Amino acid sequence: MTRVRIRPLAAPKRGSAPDEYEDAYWPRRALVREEVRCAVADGATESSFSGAWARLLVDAYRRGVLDDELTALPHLQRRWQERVDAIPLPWYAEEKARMGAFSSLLGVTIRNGRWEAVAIGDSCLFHGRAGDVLTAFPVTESTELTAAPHLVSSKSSRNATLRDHIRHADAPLEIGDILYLATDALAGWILRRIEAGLPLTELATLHPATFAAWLATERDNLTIRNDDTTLIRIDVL
Amino acid sequence: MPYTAEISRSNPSCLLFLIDRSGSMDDPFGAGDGGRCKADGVADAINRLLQNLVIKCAKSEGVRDYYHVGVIGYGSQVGPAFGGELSGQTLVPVSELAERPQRIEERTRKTDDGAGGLVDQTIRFPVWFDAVAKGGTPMCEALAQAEKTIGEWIAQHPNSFPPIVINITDGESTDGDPTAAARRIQDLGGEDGNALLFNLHLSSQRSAPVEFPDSDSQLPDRYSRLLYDMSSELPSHIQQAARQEGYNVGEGARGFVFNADMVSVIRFLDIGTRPANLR
Repeated sequence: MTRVRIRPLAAPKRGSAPDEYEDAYWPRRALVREEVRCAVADGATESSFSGAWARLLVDAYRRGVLDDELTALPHLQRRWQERVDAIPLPWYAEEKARMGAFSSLLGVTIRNGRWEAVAIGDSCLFHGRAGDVLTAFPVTESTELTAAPHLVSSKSSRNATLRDHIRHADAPLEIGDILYLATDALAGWILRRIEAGLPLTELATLHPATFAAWLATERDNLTIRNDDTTLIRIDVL
Repeated sequence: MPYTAEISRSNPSCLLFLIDRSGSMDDPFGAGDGGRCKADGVADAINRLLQNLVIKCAKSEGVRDYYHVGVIGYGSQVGPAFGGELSGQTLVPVSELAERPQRIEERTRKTDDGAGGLVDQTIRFPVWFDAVAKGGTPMCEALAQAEKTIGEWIAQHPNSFPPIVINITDGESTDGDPTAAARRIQDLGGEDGNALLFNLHLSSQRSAPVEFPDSDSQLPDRYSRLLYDMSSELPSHIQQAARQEGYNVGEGARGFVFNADMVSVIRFLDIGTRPANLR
Protein backbone atom coordinates (compact mmCIF):
# COMPACT_ATOMS: atom_id res chain seq x y z
CA MET A 1 0.00 0.00 0.00
CA THR A 2 1.34 3.45 -0.94
CA ARG A 3 1.99 5.81 1.94
CA VAL A 4 2.59 9.49 1.44
CA ARG A 5 3.90 12.30 3.62
CA ILE A 6 2.20 15.63 2.95
CA ARG A 7 3.67 18.97 3.96
CA PRO A 8 1.96 22.32 3.24
CA LEU A 9 3.66 25.72 3.03
CA ALA A 10 1.80 29.02 2.71
CA ALA A 11 2.56 32.75 2.79
CA PRO A 12 0.52 35.86 2.04
CA LYS A 13 1.37 38.40 -0.62
CA ARG A 14 4.00 40.87 0.54
CA GLY A 15 2.25 43.99 1.85
CA SER A 16 -0.89 42.06 2.77
CA ALA A 17 -1.96 41.14 6.28
CA PRO A 18 -2.12 37.42 7.14
CA ASP A 19 -5.94 37.60 7.21
CA GLU A 20 -5.91 38.91 3.63
CA TYR A 21 -4.42 35.62 2.38
CA GLU A 22 -6.93 34.32 -0.19
CA ASP A 23 -5.44 30.95 -1.12
CA ALA A 24 -6.82 27.87 0.57
CA TYR A 25 -5.32 24.41 1.02
CA TRP A 26 -5.75 21.02 2.62
CA PRO A 27 -4.27 19.39 4.62
CA ARG A 28 -3.44 22.29 6.90
CA ARG A 29 -0.53 20.50 8.60
CA ALA A 30 2.01 17.80 7.86
CA LEU A 31 0.69 14.24 8.00
CA VAL A 32 1.26 10.72 6.69
CA ARG A 33 -1.59 8.79 5.04
CA GLU A 34 -2.28 5.85 2.76
CA GLU A 35 -5.26 7.52 1.13
CA VAL A 36 -5.82 11.25 1.11
CA ARG A 37 -7.62 14.05 -0.73
CA CYS A 38 -5.50 17.22 -0.99
CA ALA A 39 -6.40 20.54 -2.59
CA VAL A 40 -5.17 24.06 -3.24
CA ALA A 41 -7.31 26.97 -4.42
CA ASP A 42 -6.41 30.55 -5.25
CA GLY A 43 -9.08 33.19 -4.68
CA ALA A 44 -8.82 35.95 -7.30
CA THR A 45 -7.58 39.37 -6.20
CA GLU A 46 -10.15 41.11 -8.37
CA SER A 47 -13.15 39.60 -6.64
CA SER A 48 -14.33 39.94 -3.06
CA PHE A 49 -15.08 37.20 -0.58
CA SER A 50 -12.82 35.09 -2.80
CA GLY A 51 -10.82 33.69 0.12
CA ALA A 52 -14.06 32.37 1.62
CA TRP A 53 -15.00 30.87 -1.77
CA ALA A 54 -11.57 29.20 -2.13
CA ARG A 55 -11.95 27.70 1.35
CA LEU A 56 -15.44 26.38 0.54
CA LEU A 57 -14.09 24.69 -2.61
CA VAL A 58 -11.11 23.11 -0.84
CA ASP A 59 -13.25 21.96 2.07
CA ALA A 60 -15.80 20.38 -0.28
CA TYR A 61 -13.08 18.59 -2.25
CA ARG A 62 -11.33 17.17 0.79
CA ARG A 63 -14.63 15.86 2.19
CA GLY A 64 -15.36 14.17 -1.12
CA VAL A 65 -18.45 16.33 -1.70
CA LEU A 66 -17.05 17.81 -4.88
CA ASP A 67 -16.78 15.18 -7.60
CA ASP A 68 -14.78 15.44 -10.81
CA GLU A 69 -17.58 17.30 -12.59
CA LEU A 70 -18.18 19.69 -9.67
CA THR A 71 -21.87 18.76 -9.48
CA ALA A 72 -22.08 20.06 -5.90
CA LEU A 73 -21.27 23.62 -6.95
CA PRO A 74 -24.86 24.99 -6.56
CA HIS A 75 -24.86 23.94 -2.90
CA LEU A 76 -21.50 25.68 -2.32
CA GLN A 77 -22.71 28.77 -4.16
CA ARG A 78 -25.72 29.01 -1.83
CA ARG A 79 -23.47 28.72 1.20
CA TRP A 80 -21.20 31.48 -0.15
CA GLN A 81 -24.21 33.73 -0.81
CA GLU A 82 -25.56 33.14 2.69
CA ARG A 83 -22.27 34.26 4.17
CA VAL A 84 -22.22 37.43 2.04
CA ASP A 85 -25.89 38.22 2.73
CA ALA A 86 -25.28 38.00 6.47
CA ILE A 87 -23.07 41.10 6.35
CA PRO A 88 -24.42 44.65 5.77
CA LEU A 89 -22.33 46.05 2.93
CA PRO A 90 -21.66 49.57 1.61
CA TRP A 91 -22.60 50.23 -2.03
CA TYR A 92 -19.24 49.28 -3.52
CA ALA A 93 -18.88 46.03 -1.56
CA GLU A 94 -22.46 45.09 -2.41
CA GLU A 95 -21.82 45.66 -6.13
CA LYS A 96 -18.52 43.79 -5.98
CA ALA A 97 -20.12 40.84 -4.20
CA ARG A 98 -22.87 40.81 -6.82
CA MET A 99 -20.18 40.00 -9.40
CA GLY A 100 -19.37 36.86 -7.45
CA ALA A 101 -16.15 35.40 -6.09
CA PHE A 102 -13.69 33.47 -8.25
CA SER A 103 -11.08 30.87 -7.46
CA SER A 104 -8.92 28.25 -9.06
CA LEU A 105 -9.16 24.70 -7.73
CA LEU A 106 -6.69 21.85 -7.91
CA GLY A 107 -7.83 18.70 -6.16
CA VAL A 108 -5.60 15.64 -5.94
CA THR A 109 -6.62 12.24 -4.57
CA ILE A 110 -3.98 9.66 -3.64
CA ARG A 111 -5.22 6.09 -3.52
CA ASN A 112 -4.27 2.63 -4.72
CA GLY A 113 -0.78 3.75 -5.69
CA ARG A 114 -1.99 6.50 -8.05
CA TRP A 115 -2.81 10.18 -8.06
CA GLU A 116 -5.95 11.50 -9.71
CA ALA A 117 -6.37 15.24 -10.22
CA VAL A 118 -9.06 17.69 -11.22
CA ALA A 119 -8.19 21.29 -12.04
CA ILE A 120 -9.86 24.52 -13.06
CA GLY A 121 -7.63 27.55 -13.52
CA ASP A 122 -3.93 28.00 -12.94
CA SER A 123 -3.04 26.12 -9.76
CA CYS A 124 -0.71 23.34 -10.86
CA LEU A 125 0.49 19.86 -10.03
CA PHE A 126 4.06 18.70 -10.78
CA HIS A 127 5.00 15.03 -10.61
CA GLY A 128 8.72 14.47 -10.05
CA ARG A 129 10.70 11.24 -10.19
CA ALA A 130 14.47 10.90 -9.74
CA GLY A 131 15.11 14.54 -10.60
CA ASP A 132 12.85 14.59 -13.67
CA VAL A 133 9.45 16.22 -13.93
CA LEU A 134 7.13 13.62 -15.47
CA THR A 135 3.98 15.75 -15.52
CA ALA A 136 3.00 19.41 -15.25
CA PHE A 137 -0.78 19.75 -14.96
CA PRO A 138 -2.96 21.51 -16.10
CA VAL A 139 -0.55 24.23 -17.28
CA THR A 140 2.55 23.02 -19.09
CA GLU A 141 4.30 26.27 -20.11
CA SER A 142 5.01 29.40 -18.08
CA THR A 143 3.67 31.62 -20.88
CA GLU A 144 0.23 30.03 -20.41
CA LEU A 145 0.00 31.63 -16.97
CA THR A 146 -1.79 34.90 -17.59
CA ALA A 147 -3.46 37.45 -15.34
CA ALA A 148 -6.85 36.31 -16.64
CA PRO A 149 -7.42 32.57 -16.12
CA HIS A 150 -10.88 31.01 -16.30
CA LEU A 151 -11.87 30.27 -12.70
CA VAL A 152 -14.73 28.73 -10.72
CA SER A 153 -17.28 31.37 -9.77
CA SER A 154 -19.65 31.56 -6.83
CA LYS A 155 -22.25 32.78 -9.36
CA SER A 156 -23.75 30.16 -11.67
CA SER A 157 -24.19 32.79 -14.39
CA ARG A 158 -20.37 33.13 -14.57
CA ASN A 159 -19.86 29.39 -14.92
CA ALA A 160 -21.66 28.93 -18.24
CA THR A 161 -18.56 27.45 -19.92
CA LEU A 162 -17.01 25.89 -16.82
CA ARG A 163 -17.26 22.35 -18.19
CA ASP A 164 -14.97 23.34 -21.06
CA HIS A 165 -12.34 24.38 -18.53
CA ILE A 166 -12.31 21.37 -16.17
CA ARG A 167 -9.18 19.26 -16.64
CA HIS A 168 -8.47 15.74 -15.38
CA ALA A 169 -5.28 13.70 -15.14
CA ASP A 170 -3.95 10.67 -13.28
CA ALA A 171 -0.79 8.57 -13.07
CA PRO A 172 0.79 5.78 -11.02
CA LEU A 173 3.15 6.60 -8.16
CA GLU A 174 6.44 4.96 -7.20
CA ILE A 175 8.34 5.09 -3.95
CA GLY A 176 10.52 8.22 -3.94
CA ASP A 177 8.23 10.22 -6.23
CA ILE A 178 7.38 13.79 -5.23
CA LEU A 179 4.23 15.71 -6.09
CA TYR A 180 4.07 19.48 -5.74
CA LEU A 181 0.76 21.34 -5.72
CA ALA A 182 1.33 25.07 -6.23
CA THR A 183 -0.73 28.21 -6.71
CA ASP A 184 0.12 30.24 -9.80
CA ALA A 185 2.99 32.46 -8.63
CA LEU A 186 5.04 29.47 -7.52
CA ALA A 187 3.79 27.36 -10.43
CA GLY A 188 5.28 30.01 -12.74
CA TRP A 189 8.60 29.81 -10.90
CA ILE A 190 8.61 25.99 -11.22
CA LEU A 191 7.70 26.05 -14.93
CA ARG A 192 10.45 28.58 -15.70
CA ARG A 193 12.97 26.35 -13.85
CA ILE A 194 11.86 23.36 -15.89
CA GLU A 195 12.07 25.36 -19.14
CA ALA A 196 15.61 26.50 -18.20
CA GLY A 197 16.66 22.90 -17.52
CA LEU A 198 17.23 23.65 -13.82
CA PRO A 199 16.46 21.19 -11.02
CA LEU A 200 13.74 21.72 -8.42
CA THR A 201 15.97 20.49 -5.62
CA GLU A 202 15.78 23.74 -3.63
CA LEU A 203 12.02 23.31 -3.35
CA ALA A 204 12.61 20.07 -1.51
CA THR A 205 14.69 21.88 1.13
CA LEU A 206 11.91 24.30 2.08
CA HIS A 207 10.07 23.97 5.36
CA PRO A 208 7.82 26.26 7.39
CA ALA A 209 10.72 28.05 9.10
CA THR A 210 12.51 28.90 5.82
CA PHE A 211 9.67 29.38 3.35
CA ALA A 212 8.99 33.08 4.07
CA ALA A 213 12.67 34.05 3.79
CA TRP A 214 13.12 32.06 0.57
CA LEU A 215 10.03 33.73 -0.93
CA ALA A 216 11.27 37.17 0.10
CA THR A 217 14.55 36.59 -1.73
CA GLU A 218 12.84 35.32 -4.86
CA ARG A 219 10.41 38.25 -4.80
CA ASP A 220 13.32 40.68 -4.38
CA ASN A 221 14.99 39.06 -7.40
CA LEU A 222 11.71 39.31 -9.35
CA THR A 223 11.93 35.58 -10.03
CA ILE A 224 8.56 34.99 -8.38
CA ARG A 225 5.53 37.24 -8.62
CA ASN A 226 4.35 38.90 -5.43
CA ASP A 227 1.15 37.02 -4.68
CA ASP A 228 -0.34 34.74 -2.07
CA THR A 229 1.77 31.61 -2.40
CA THR A 230 0.94 28.05 -1.44
CA LEU A 231 2.86 24.81 -1.92
CA ILE A 232 1.91 21.29 -0.88
CA ARG A 233 4.67 18.73 -1.12
CA ILE A 234 3.72 15.07 -1.24
CA ASP A 235 6.47 12.44 -0.84
CA VAL A 236 5.77 8.81 -1.66
CA LEU A 237 7.25 6.73 1.14
CA MET B 1 10.86 47.28 -18.74
CA PRO B 2 8.37 50.18 -18.42
CA TYR B 3 4.79 49.83 -17.19
CA THR B 4 5.51 46.71 -15.14
CA ALA B 5 5.56 48.17 -11.61
CA GLU B 6 3.25 46.35 -9.24
CA ILE B 7 0.27 48.47 -8.20
CA SER B 8 -0.31 47.94 -4.50
CA ARG B 9 -1.34 49.82 -1.40
CA SER B 10 2.32 50.47 -0.55
CA ASN B 11 3.11 51.41 -4.16
CA PRO B 12 -0.10 52.99 -5.51
CA SER B 13 -0.64 54.54 -8.90
CA CYS B 14 -2.55 57.65 -9.89
CA LEU B 15 -5.53 58.38 -12.15
CA LEU B 16 -6.34 61.97 -13.00
CA PHE B 17 -9.50 62.77 -14.94
CA LEU B 18 -10.01 66.01 -16.84
CA ILE B 19 -13.65 66.81 -17.58
CA ASP B 20 -14.84 69.34 -20.12
CA ARG B 21 -17.69 71.38 -18.60
CA SER B 22 -17.78 74.07 -21.28
CA GLY B 23 -20.86 75.63 -22.86
CA SER B 24 -20.43 73.59 -26.04
CA MET B 25 -21.22 70.49 -23.98
CA ASP B 26 -24.88 71.59 -24.12
CA ASP B 27 -24.95 70.41 -27.75
CA PRO B 28 -26.54 67.05 -28.61
CA PHE B 29 -24.44 63.94 -28.11
CA GLY B 30 -23.92 62.08 -31.39
CA ALA B 31 -23.92 58.61 -29.82
CA GLY B 32 -26.70 59.24 -27.32
CA ASP B 33 -30.45 59.02 -27.38
CA GLY B 34 -32.36 61.99 -28.71
CA GLY B 35 -32.31 64.84 -26.23
CA ARG B 36 -29.13 63.87 -24.39
CA CYS B 37 -26.39 66.48 -24.50
CA LYS B 38 -22.64 65.99 -24.34
CA ALA B 39 -22.56 67.31 -20.75
CA ASP B 40 -24.84 64.41 -19.75
CA GLY B 41 -22.42 62.13 -21.59
CA VAL B 42 -19.46 63.54 -19.62
CA ALA B 43 -21.24 63.25 -16.26
CA ASP B 44 -22.27 59.70 -17.09
CA ALA B 45 -18.75 58.82 -18.26
CA ILE B 46 -16.93 60.19 -15.20
CA ASN B 47 -19.43 58.72 -12.72
CA ARG B 48 -19.19 55.30 -14.36
CA LEU B 49 -15.38 55.47 -14.55
CA LEU B 50 -15.14 56.35 -10.85
CA GLN B 51 -17.76 53.73 -9.89
CA ASN B 52 -15.89 51.03 -11.79
CA LEU B 53 -12.56 52.09 -10.31
CA VAL B 54 -13.93 51.97 -6.76
CA ILE B 55 -15.50 48.56 -7.35
CA LYS B 56 -12.27 47.29 -8.88
CA CYS B 57 -10.41 48.22 -5.70
CA ALA B 58 -13.18 46.96 -3.35
CA LYS B 59 -12.69 43.85 -1.24
CA SER B 60 -14.92 42.38 1.41
CA GLU B 61 -13.21 44.43 4.14
CA GLY B 62 -13.33 47.78 2.29
CA VAL B 63 -11.63 49.62 -0.55
CA ARG B 64 -7.90 49.15 -1.01
CA ASP B 65 -5.99 52.30 -1.93
CA TYR B 66 -4.36 51.07 -5.13
CA TYR B 67 -4.94 54.51 -6.70
CA HIS B 68 -4.89 58.18 -5.90
CA VAL B 69 -7.65 59.82 -7.90
CA GLY B 70 -8.28 63.39 -9.00
CA VAL B 71 -10.74 65.23 -11.22
CA ILE B 72 -9.99 68.60 -12.81
CA GLY B 73 -12.93 70.36 -14.41
CA TYR B 74 -12.56 72.94 -17.18
CA GLY B 75 -15.17 75.39 -18.45
CA SER B 76 -15.94 78.74 -16.91
CA GLN B 77 -13.08 77.91 -14.53
CA VAL B 78 -10.31 75.34 -14.26
CA GLY B 79 -9.59 73.43 -11.07
CA PRO B 80 -10.34 70.50 -8.80
CA ALA B 81 -13.92 69.51 -9.48
CA PHE B 82 -14.89 67.32 -6.53
CA GLY B 83 -17.93 68.61 -4.67
CA GLY B 84 -19.25 67.96 -1.18
CA GLU B 85 -16.80 66.71 1.42
CA LEU B 86 -14.02 66.29 -1.16
CA SER B 87 -14.38 69.87 -2.39
CA GLY B 88 -11.07 71.58 -3.16
CA GLN B 89 -8.99 68.39 -2.99
CA THR B 90 -6.81 67.57 -6.00
CA LEU B 91 -5.98 63.91 -5.38
CA VAL B 92 -7.65 61.59 -2.89
CA PRO B 93 -7.15 57.89 -2.11
CA VAL B 94 -9.77 55.80 -3.89
CA SER B 95 -11.24 54.73 -0.52
CA GLU B 96 -12.22 58.36 0.21
CA LEU B 97 -13.88 58.56 -3.17
CA ALA B 98 -15.85 55.43 -2.29
CA GLU B 99 -17.09 56.88 0.97
CA ARG B 100 -17.98 60.35 -0.30
CA PRO B 101 -20.05 60.49 -3.46
CA GLN B 102 -22.36 63.51 -3.65
CA ARG B 103 -25.32 61.13 -3.41
CA ILE B 104 -26.29 57.54 -4.05
CA GLU B 105 -29.22 56.95 -6.41
CA GLU B 106 -31.23 53.78 -6.78
CA ARG B 107 -31.44 52.48 -10.33
CA THR B 108 -32.95 49.42 -11.91
CA ARG B 109 -31.20 47.11 -14.29
CA LYS B 110 -31.90 43.81 -15.95
CA THR B 111 -29.93 40.91 -14.60
CA ASP B 112 -29.62 37.18 -15.15
CA ASP B 113 -32.07 35.25 -12.92
CA GLY B 114 -29.88 32.16 -13.03
CA ALA B 115 -32.55 30.22 -14.96
CA GLY B 116 -32.09 31.69 -18.41
CA GLY B 117 -34.32 34.72 -17.88
CA LEU B 118 -33.91 38.34 -16.83
CA VAL B 119 -35.21 40.06 -13.73
CA ASP B 120 -35.18 43.71 -12.61
CA GLN B 121 -32.65 44.38 -9.91
CA THR B 122 -32.30 47.54 -7.84
CA ILE B 123 -28.72 48.74 -7.54
CA ARG B 124 -27.15 51.66 -5.72
CA PHE B 125 -25.46 54.05 -8.15
CA PRO B 126 -23.13 56.70 -6.71
CA VAL B 127 -23.05 60.16 -8.30
CA TRP B 128 -20.01 62.37 -7.87
CA PHE B 129 -20.73 64.76 -10.75
CA ASP B 130 -23.80 66.32 -12.37
CA ALA B 131 -23.87 67.69 -15.90
CA VAL B 132 -22.41 71.20 -16.22
CA ALA B 133 -22.05 73.23 -19.44
CA LYS B 134 -20.76 76.75 -18.98
CA GLY B 135 -18.00 78.94 -20.41
CA GLY B 136 -15.18 78.21 -22.87
CA THR B 137 -13.02 75.11 -23.26
CA PRO B 138 -9.64 75.99 -21.73
CA MET B 139 -8.10 72.58 -22.45
CA CYS B 140 -4.52 73.91 -22.52
CA GLU B 141 -4.93 75.33 -19.03
CA ALA B 142 -6.50 72.08 -17.81
CA LEU B 143 -3.59 70.07 -19.23
CA ALA B 144 -1.13 72.49 -17.59
CA GLN B 145 -2.82 71.95 -14.22
CA ALA B 146 -2.69 68.22 -14.82
CA GLU B 147 1.04 68.47 -15.63
CA LYS B 148 1.66 70.25 -12.31
CA THR B 149 -0.42 67.76 -10.32
CA ILE B 150 1.14 64.73 -12.00
CA GLY B 151 4.68 66.16 -11.74
CA GLU B 152 4.32 66.58 -8.00
CA TRP B 153 2.83 63.11 -7.62
CA ILE B 154 5.65 61.47 -9.60
CA ALA B 155 8.23 63.29 -7.46
CA GLN B 156 6.63 61.69 -4.39
CA HIS B 157 6.16 58.27 -6.03
CA PRO B 158 9.10 57.83 -8.44
CA ASN B 159 8.89 54.01 -8.50
CA SER B 160 5.14 53.69 -8.94
CA PHE B 161 3.25 52.66 -12.06
CA PRO B 162 3.06 55.97 -13.99
CA PRO B 163 -0.04 58.17 -13.67
CA ILE B 164 -2.77 57.93 -16.28
CA VAL B 165 -4.56 61.12 -17.27
CA ILE B 166 -7.98 60.60 -18.89
CA ASN B 167 -9.37 63.65 -20.67
CA ILE B 168 -13.13 63.59 -21.40
CA THR B 169 -14.07 66.29 -23.89
CA ASP B 170 -15.74 67.31 -27.14
CA GLY B 171 -12.27 68.33 -28.28
CA GLU B 172 -13.00 71.96 -29.16
CA SER B 173 -10.27 73.74 -27.19
CA THR B 174 -10.76 77.52 -26.95
CA ASP B 175 -7.38 78.48 -25.48
CA GLY B 176 -5.17 77.23 -28.30
CA ASP B 177 -3.74 74.00 -29.67
CA PRO B 178 -3.42 71.58 -26.71
CA THR B 179 -0.81 69.37 -28.41
CA ALA B 180 2.24 70.89 -26.68
CA ALA B 181 0.56 70.81 -23.25
CA ALA B 182 -0.29 67.15 -23.86
CA ARG B 183 3.31 66.35 -24.80
CA ARG B 184 4.58 67.93 -21.59
CA ILE B 185 2.41 65.50 -19.57
CA GLN B 186 3.67 62.56 -21.63
CA ASP B 187 7.27 63.69 -21.04
CA LEU B 188 6.89 63.38 -17.27
CA GLY B 189 8.46 60.14 -16.21
CA GLY B 190 9.34 58.00 -13.23
CA GLU B 191 11.33 54.77 -12.96
CA ASP B 192 8.53 52.74 -14.56
CA GLY B 193 7.92 54.91 -17.59
CA ASN B 194 6.25 58.13 -18.64
CA ALA B 195 2.80 59.37 -17.70
CA LEU B 196 0.03 58.27 -20.06
CA LEU B 197 -2.61 60.55 -21.55
CA PHE B 198 -5.83 58.97 -22.84
CA ASN B 199 -8.68 60.88 -24.48
CA LEU B 200 -12.41 60.15 -24.53
CA HIS B 201 -13.99 62.19 -27.29
CA LEU B 202 -17.73 62.83 -26.96
CA SER B 203 -18.82 64.40 -30.21
CA SER B 204 -22.02 65.73 -31.79
CA GLN B 205 -20.96 63.88 -34.94
CA ARG B 206 -23.13 60.87 -35.66
CA SER B 207 -20.16 58.83 -36.90
CA ALA B 208 -19.54 55.23 -35.86
CA PRO B 209 -17.88 54.78 -32.44
CA VAL B 210 -14.14 54.08 -32.54
CA GLU B 211 -12.22 52.34 -29.76
CA PHE B 212 -8.44 52.22 -29.30
CA PRO B 213 -7.50 52.79 -32.95
CA ASP B 214 -3.93 52.59 -34.25
CA SER B 215 -4.54 55.18 -36.97
CA ASP B 216 -6.77 58.20 -37.42
CA SER B 217 -8.22 56.96 -40.71
CA GLN B 218 -11.68 56.19 -39.26
CA LEU B 219 -11.99 59.49 -37.40
CA PRO B 220 -14.52 61.99 -38.76
CA ASP B 221 -13.11 65.46 -38.05
CA ARG B 222 -10.07 67.52 -37.09
CA TYR B 223 -11.04 67.51 -33.38
CA SER B 224 -11.02 63.74 -33.17
CA ARG B 225 -7.75 63.53 -35.12
CA LEU B 226 -6.15 66.10 -32.81
CA LEU B 227 -7.21 64.13 -29.72
CA TYR B 228 -5.97 60.92 -31.33
CA ASP B 229 -2.58 62.56 -31.95
CA MET B 230 -2.47 63.67 -28.30
CA SER B 231 -3.17 60.17 -26.97
CA SER B 232 -0.47 57.84 -25.66
CA GLU B 233 0.04 54.37 -27.05
CA LEU B 234 -1.45 51.68 -24.82
CA PRO B 235 1.27 49.80 -22.90
CA SER B 236 1.63 46.23 -24.10
CA HIS B 237 -0.04 44.62 -21.05
CA ILE B 238 -3.10 46.85 -21.57
CA GLN B 239 -3.17 45.92 -25.26
CA GLN B 240 -3.01 42.27 -24.22
CA ALA B 241 -5.86 42.68 -21.71
CA ALA B 242 -7.94 44.41 -24.39
CA ARG B 243 -7.34 41.55 -26.85
CA GLN B 244 -8.31 39.00 -24.20
CA GLU B 245 -11.64 40.83 -23.93
CA GLY B 246 -12.14 40.60 -27.66
CA TYR B 247 -11.08 44.10 -28.72
CA ASN B 248 -9.37 44.26 -32.09
CA VAL B 249 -6.34 46.20 -30.90
CA GLY B 250 -3.29 46.81 -33.10
CA GLU B 251 0.34 47.09 -31.93
CA GLY B 252 0.24 50.88 -32.00
CA ALA B 253 -3.23 51.24 -30.47
CA ARG B 254 -3.79 54.54 -28.69
CA GLY B 255 -5.64 55.33 -25.49
CA PHE B 256 -8.40 57.04 -27.44
CA VAL B 257 -12.09 56.36 -27.92
CA PHE B 258 -14.63 58.30 -30.00
CA ASN B 259 -18.28 58.40 -28.87
CA ALA B 260 -17.77 55.15 -27.00
CA ASP B 261 -17.27 53.78 -23.53
CA MET B 262 -13.89 54.03 -21.80
CA VAL B 263 -14.84 52.01 -18.72
CA SER B 264 -12.99 49.11 -20.33
CA VAL B 265 -9.71 50.92 -19.53
CA ILE B 266 -10.46 50.48 -15.83
CA ARG B 267 -10.90 46.75 -16.41
CA PHE B 268 -7.56 46.60 -18.24
CA LEU B 269 -5.64 48.02 -15.26
CA ASP B 270 -3.69 45.23 -13.60
CA ILE B 271 -3.98 44.98 -9.81
CA GLY B 272 -3.97 41.18 -9.66
CA THR B 273 -5.72 38.12 -11.02
CA ARG B 274 -8.81 39.09 -13.01
CA PRO B 275 -10.84 36.02 -13.97
CA ALA B 276 -11.52 35.62 -17.69
CA ASN B 277 -15.16 34.84 -16.83
CA LEU B 278 -15.61 38.13 -14.91
CA ARG B 279 -16.90 40.29 -17.75
